[in-house]
Amino acid sequence: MLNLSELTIGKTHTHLMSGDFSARELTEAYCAEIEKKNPALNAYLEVFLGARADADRADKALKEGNAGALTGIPLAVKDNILVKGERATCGSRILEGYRATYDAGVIERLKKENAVFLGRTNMDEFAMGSSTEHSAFGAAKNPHDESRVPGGSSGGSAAAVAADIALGALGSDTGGSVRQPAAFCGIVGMKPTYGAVSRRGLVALASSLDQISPFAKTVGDAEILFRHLRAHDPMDSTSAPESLWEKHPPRTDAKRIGVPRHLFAEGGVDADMQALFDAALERLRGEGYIIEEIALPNLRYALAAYYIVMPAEASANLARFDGVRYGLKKAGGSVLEEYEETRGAGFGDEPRMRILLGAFVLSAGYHDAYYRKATALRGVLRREMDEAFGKVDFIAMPTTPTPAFKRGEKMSDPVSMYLSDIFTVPANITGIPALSLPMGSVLRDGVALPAGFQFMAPHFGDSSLFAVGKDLEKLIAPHR
Amino acid sequence: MADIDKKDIAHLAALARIRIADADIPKIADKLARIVQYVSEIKDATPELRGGVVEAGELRNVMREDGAPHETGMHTEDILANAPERDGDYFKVRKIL
Repeated sequence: MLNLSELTIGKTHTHLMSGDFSARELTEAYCAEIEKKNPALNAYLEVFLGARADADRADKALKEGNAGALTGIPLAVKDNILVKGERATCGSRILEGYRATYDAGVIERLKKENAVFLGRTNMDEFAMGSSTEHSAFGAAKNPHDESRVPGGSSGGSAAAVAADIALGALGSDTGGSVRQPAAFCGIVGMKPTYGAVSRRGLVALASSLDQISPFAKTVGDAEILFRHLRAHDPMDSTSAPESLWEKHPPRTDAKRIGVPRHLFAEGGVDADMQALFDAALERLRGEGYIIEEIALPNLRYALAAYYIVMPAEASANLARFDGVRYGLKKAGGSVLEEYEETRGAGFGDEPRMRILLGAFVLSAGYHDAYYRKATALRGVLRREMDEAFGKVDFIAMPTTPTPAFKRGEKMSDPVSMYLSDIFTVPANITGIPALSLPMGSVLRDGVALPAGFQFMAPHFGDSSLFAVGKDLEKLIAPHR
Repeated sequence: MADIDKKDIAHLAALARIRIADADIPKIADKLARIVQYVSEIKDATPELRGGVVEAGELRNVMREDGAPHETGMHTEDILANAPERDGDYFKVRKIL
């Protein structure tokens, strides 16, 4: 019997190469574990029937000597990333029954590697949420404490990796939707530089912020996934060309860490989270890192700007769900009534509210005060970050102000829910890469809950994030 | 703009082509008002004073050669298989005019 909790992507690759077990055996072990654990967690919405065939293809590649680092590695895929022929619902009734007609760019790349796709994972409807409670198919739960949320919106993927029912997973990070659930579930989540990973075949929430992002158990595993996901895609016009990466070669001398401490009180960081964060900084200092305090005076407006830009873009992106080409259709007397009935019945509370909010900030009379101002602020924040990165190599913050909260706790107050993303949103608003990794745990009601440490780096500094992340991981969890 | 009333919700719902039941309007109006109040804090930020209005990121066009991307009709059946209503190789919609 395989001990799945011991496995990492790196170790599994070695086992597969030396024939300790086959990809098929590994996939069977994961499928059995999913059957056991998923009813309680609701992390997966569906296990793909094709997973075993994927594994057989991987075994063939292994036998023929064509195996790469991800060959035979069982992965979970967020329900908003298209896998040809499989369902994709974005956690919404409006897409119930939809089957993808093509592979997302990232899936295409992973298929070439003969990775195994175990299934599609639960999410807040259209990635709108921070708890996976806004799924139309029931909330997902945190494997560390089932009375708590796994975070969101990619909560199903995070819970799957944390519960050892996937070895790695894909999510999408628009405002923290990978880093925040990674922190809540005690795993690693990495949001790449905007444009690093193709968005083709990712159902859009907010196109200027969305980025497909990996979940893994270790920083090294996240790096392996990132290396295979990152590529220029001519079919995504916001994909970064290779020439931009060549201009920013990986650095090995990045040692200066800036800490915008003035934001922590405003972000409502719990005292024990703050203590863990400070202890981690001290250990980094002991390893030769230079820690200095920095000021990011306008960053306090990032979350407000985000809740203008994101719904504005979402209201435009979600206009395509009208009951004509796919998904739900409700009959009505006229074409307009059919749109209204279909969208009224198909979208849940949160998408309806965010679409209305988007319509509001873009509407005549309010456009200048909200949308234009938020866009201008984005430019200011980007400049502020660039200035900071003139002085330091990384910016560090806790990933979230608190550990995972109780299910139901924030459902009636949207602003309190949004505040759990206060430290993750800045990376999306400015397009920079960021990594969250475990920094220990805090006790709540007698249960040890994971806490996340976040590093941000300048545009195209993705590889230096893995270097500093591995250093901290060694100090916190040396057994990994 | 902290007050969002029933009329505002009806207007926004019409803009967004979403039918909202009368019973749901007060709850949505309340949540929306709270969010609008929160995001209104950006009015206190003064980015214009820090060197003129800046836009987020540069804008550039990404061009490609014009040409047939794929064989005509090769995706038609896959795509139409998802259609709620079809008529041969067409999506079926209500009369528009």
